Amino acid sequence: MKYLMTLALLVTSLATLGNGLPADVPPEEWPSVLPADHDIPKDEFGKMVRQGQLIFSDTGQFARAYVGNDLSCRNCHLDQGRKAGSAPLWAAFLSYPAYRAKNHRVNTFEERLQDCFRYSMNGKAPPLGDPVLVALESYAYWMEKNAKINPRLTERGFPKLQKPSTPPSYERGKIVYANNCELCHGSNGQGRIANGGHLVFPPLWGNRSFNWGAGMAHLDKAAAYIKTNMPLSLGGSLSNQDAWDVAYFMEGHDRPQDPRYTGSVDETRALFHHTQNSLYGHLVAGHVLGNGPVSK
Amino acid sequence: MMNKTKYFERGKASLKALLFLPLAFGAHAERLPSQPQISTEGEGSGFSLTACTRCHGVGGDGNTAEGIPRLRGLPFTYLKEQLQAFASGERQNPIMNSIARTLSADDITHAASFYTQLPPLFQPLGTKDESTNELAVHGRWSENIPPCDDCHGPEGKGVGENFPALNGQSARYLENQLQAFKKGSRPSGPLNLMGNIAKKLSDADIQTLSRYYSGSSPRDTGGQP
Ligand code: HEC
Ligand code: HEC
Ligand code: HEC
Ligand code: HEC
Repeated sequence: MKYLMTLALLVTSLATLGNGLPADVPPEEWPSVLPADHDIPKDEFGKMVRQGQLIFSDTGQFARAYVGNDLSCRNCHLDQGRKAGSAPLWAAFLSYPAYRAKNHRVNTFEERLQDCFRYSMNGKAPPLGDPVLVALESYAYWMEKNAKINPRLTERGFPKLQKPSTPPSYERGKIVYANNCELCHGSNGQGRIANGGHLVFPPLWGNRSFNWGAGMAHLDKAAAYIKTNMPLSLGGSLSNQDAWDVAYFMEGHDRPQDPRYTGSVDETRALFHHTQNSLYGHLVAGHVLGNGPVSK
Repeated sequence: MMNKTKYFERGKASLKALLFLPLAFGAHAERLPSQPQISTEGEGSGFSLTACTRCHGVGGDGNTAEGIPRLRGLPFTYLKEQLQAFASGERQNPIMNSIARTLSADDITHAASFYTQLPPLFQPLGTKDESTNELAVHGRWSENIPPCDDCHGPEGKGVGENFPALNGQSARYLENQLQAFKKGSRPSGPLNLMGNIAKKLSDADIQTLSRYYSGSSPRDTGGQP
């Protein structure tokens, strides 16, 4: 049903859509068109949508009770959750309820949002029905409902990145980092604060970043995100190898503990990090990861 | 690639200079400029900041009508790199090229450390019409243009040593710079970030943005926060 509606929307919008796009882009690659902020209705529902957008953009300020680091949702889901290639919020909304291997059961969208707070935001999950979740869900629903979606494109999640030809290396990653990332994210991955005190470049590791349970703590997801979106405004410019190497360097530093920690790094690794894509519990650059950030 | 490494070497060199700065000032701490005029004298090098204040003002405020930039509070590394780029001719401007060529490395350090320690002065940038700050706060991601504020900080107040404040500059100066990046008469900066973005901006974008960051967009006076 949803599919039919979006198809109808798409057909009616093709004319307008086509105008703004270069002629050499075939229709199956036309990106979905998303509503603008000024389309948010000026009623009670619209107020909730705006609130969701505020939470998404400045999570520490508008959902403080549930946040334990310096990140905001928008730092990873770019263009306030719109941008394809950074797991857009509207495409996620369309994809739940869904089975997740992470907890071996079918999750609702609200439950999926709870996990973002536990892991990516290193905080605690707002209870189901909490105004924070209602606002985020309203924002996602509004975006999806008013989008002109190209059903021939799959814009959900992060694009898969081919495995590198050489296994990723910390030493090479360190060089990629110094040349392409340090300018903004700082020499110790700590990020940077603007004049006036607002965090602009988010921390990539250490106490104020996402924890070991987060999706971004997986090499494959981090490499795909970095390849598509970083350095900011130059997405796509790194080679696949550079993206994997710098992801390895980033994940080769410690960060807040996995909230599912059992009391033993080895056991936590065996239970939750039994994959090549997690460096949790590995010895990297002289430090066994998962024992807490070390200050250098 | 060449360009990249060059910027990083420069960054390192200026970092060192920054470390020595407190020492240099400490040596004549009693002469620290609580009033800017005091330190416009060069320290025995024959160089005097009056060579700059003539146009940029004693307080580093610049001149709106002439498109002369405000220098107060801009980052040390950034100021130094700009003076070096004027001296080498990479950043083209007849006035500043001929002035910067006469400066020694010490003069450049002295001038940059003088202007960086003057407190910046920002203005409110509210706007009546959401479309006038669209690029500044939302960007245009379909063309990979992030919000300007992502790099220049909220309300363009600047970030760290490499991202200068836009807030406080005049519309004329900002417009000149965006056009210069676009034409290539100004080097595109660290990682080519700024040159790359300016090349994607239309003349209309440039005008709107320059007005917005100079605080001269029609402002919302309806009393709404
Ligand atoms: C540190 C980066 C990061 C932050 C911060 C972050 N996320 Fe995510 N998010 C991810 C990653 C990585 C995934 C996994 C995508 C995948 O599996 O392909 C994800 C997945 C999601 C999904 C499911 C996407 C899908 O298609 O199934 C939703 C919904 C989501 N995040 C919402 C949020 C919200 C809301 C916030 C803020 C409270 C947030 N995220 C903060 C990185 C982040
Ligand atoms: C010009 C500045 C800049 C450069 C250079 C840059 N980033 Fe980022 N990065 C950002 C900004 C800004 C965000 C948040 C985006 C937003 O909120 O819109 C971000 C977000 C991220 C995130 C997700 C948020 C987090 O804290 O985990 C990762 C991971 C990341 N960058 C990695 C990198 C890597 C690796 C490089 C080098 C290849 C790099 N970045 C280069 C500015 C930059
Ligand atoms: C005759 C007027 C004049 C004098 C004297 C002058 N400047 Fe300038 N300066 C300008 C103009 C005009 C510009 C803008 C150039 C452009 O548009 O690229 C400028 C630009 C600059 C910039 C670039 C600022 C930025 O935000 O990028 C710096 C730094 C600077 N001047 C430093 C100095 C110093 C130091 C001196 C003294 C040694 C000095 N200027 C003397 C007119 C002057
Ligand atoms: C990805 C990061 C990034 C983004 C986004 C960005 N800039 Fe910049 N910008 C820079 C850097 C870095 C410099 C310093 C260039 C140099 O050192 O020569 C700069 C310099 C400038 C300058 C020169 C300032 C001066 O004092 O001379 C202007 C004007 C400017 N940017 C305007 C903008 C506008 C308008 C936007 C939004 C369309 C924007 N920038 C977006 C990184 C960015």
